Amino acid sequence: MLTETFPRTVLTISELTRNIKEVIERSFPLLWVSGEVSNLRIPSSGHLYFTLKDEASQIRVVMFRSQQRKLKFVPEDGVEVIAQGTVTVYEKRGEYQLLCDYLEPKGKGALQLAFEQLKARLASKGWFDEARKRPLPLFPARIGLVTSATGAAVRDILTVIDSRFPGTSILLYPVQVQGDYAPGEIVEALNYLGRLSDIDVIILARGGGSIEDLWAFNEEEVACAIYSCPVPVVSAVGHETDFTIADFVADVRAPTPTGACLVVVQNKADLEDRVAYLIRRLAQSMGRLVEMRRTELASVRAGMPDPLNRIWPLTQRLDELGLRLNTALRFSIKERTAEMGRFRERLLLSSPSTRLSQGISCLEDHIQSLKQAVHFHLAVVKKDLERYLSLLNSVSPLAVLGRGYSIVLSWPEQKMVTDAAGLSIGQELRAKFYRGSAHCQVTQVNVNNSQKEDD
Amino acid sequence: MKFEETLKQLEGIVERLEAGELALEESLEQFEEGIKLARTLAKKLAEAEKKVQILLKNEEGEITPQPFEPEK
Repeated sequence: MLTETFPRTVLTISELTRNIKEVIERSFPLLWVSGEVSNLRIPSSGHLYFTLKDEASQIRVVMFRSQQRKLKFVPEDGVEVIAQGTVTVYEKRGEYQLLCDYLEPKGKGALQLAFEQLKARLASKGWFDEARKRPLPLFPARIGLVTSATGAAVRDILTVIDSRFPGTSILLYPVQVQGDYAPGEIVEALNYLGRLSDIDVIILARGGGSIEDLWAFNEEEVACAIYSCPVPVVSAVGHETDFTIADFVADVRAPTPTGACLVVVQNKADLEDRVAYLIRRLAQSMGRLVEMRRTELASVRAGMPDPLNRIWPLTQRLDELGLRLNTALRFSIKERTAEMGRFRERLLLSSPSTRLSQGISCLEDHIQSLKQAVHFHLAVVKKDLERYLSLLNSVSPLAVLGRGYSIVLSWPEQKMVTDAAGLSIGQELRAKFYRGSAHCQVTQVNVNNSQKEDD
Repeated sequence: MKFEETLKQLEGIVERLEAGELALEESLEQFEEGIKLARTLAKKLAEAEKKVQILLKNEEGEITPQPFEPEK
């Protein structure tokens, strides 16, 4: 028998499998393979199990959890990938498989895919919603700056801020803006600055670079730190065409580091203009108020009862005073308005802030003297009124009696007698004197005028 | 008080005065308050002193601010 010529070697399954394993693992050192992901499973162990296939064949793949840290995207069924690994045999099942230690999407860059996946996820959580974005302070007390202490970005930012508003207070938290440590440092910086009470806005900046250079700004932990930062964050990463996850989460996205300065720091002259404009309106409304009161005064005076109308000299005097008061006020307001105009010109020219303060105290002095002027004129008017009262007193009939005249009244009707023709002999009359009165009887009536009777 | 809050208050006073519906006494009070706020704003704009600082960690890991001047 043929079989008898060779010694029979009987292997156990384990031995055979071990032999196959040795051959395979020796023959296929670290290699790259491309294919489509299917049957992806992630059990509770966290290891990734899937099949890589092409049109004709397939191979099982396992990727242990410890290898997944380097993954920049989440594998999904149907995604074309390139895998790096070694072929090994799973002895228990007698199956060969690829032990994968790196995986990247084929075609589209791994980073791009990772970016799109994270963007979609955060967008669905509402982190990019305009409604949750906070307004920036108009005039920040102190600006937190998170960027590299050595790059061009920090220099540009400080220069532009200084040109817009010299003396702005800035606190720089230096961080690495690329590399493995960058995300952690950025997170630490945002957390630290966000807790300081005097920081009311943070600029997160980096100059231009490749997608790999800017990668730290696409990390989820950075997005999370921006999202939970207690003060508004302005992102300014790369050039105008670069968009990072940080840009989407930030309260405001500035196209460049320089652009961030323009949104965070207002022009000093603009702010000063705004304040000066309010002061001007304040002064004008006060002027109008005085004018209004004056008009009211005039209409009240016009509606006064008859007796006062008779005292035209006093009315004239009042008009005169009113006219002078009006002229004084108009002149003051005009002068003040002109002064405000001149002041504004100087304000725009150079270092106007001190003059602004001077202008205000000047305005206050002026208001003070206006008040004094009004009080003075009121006192004059009061004195005139008192004089008028004594004049009124002098023309009162009682005063005439004092000069020896008396009034004759009929009895008992007590009607004033101005004509002797109405009297009859024996009629009773009452005569009133400056002091006291007398009861009389008519003994003779003379109807001629008093002049003739005296003759 | 923050700059924009002060500014907003001043704007409110100016608008009330311009509406002309206040009593004389009240107008004067508002006017004086307005002048005070305007002075505060002008002072805030004027008093910003240049202060750029960098946070540095020492050997103990404590973070302290130091003056900062960017490299030319």
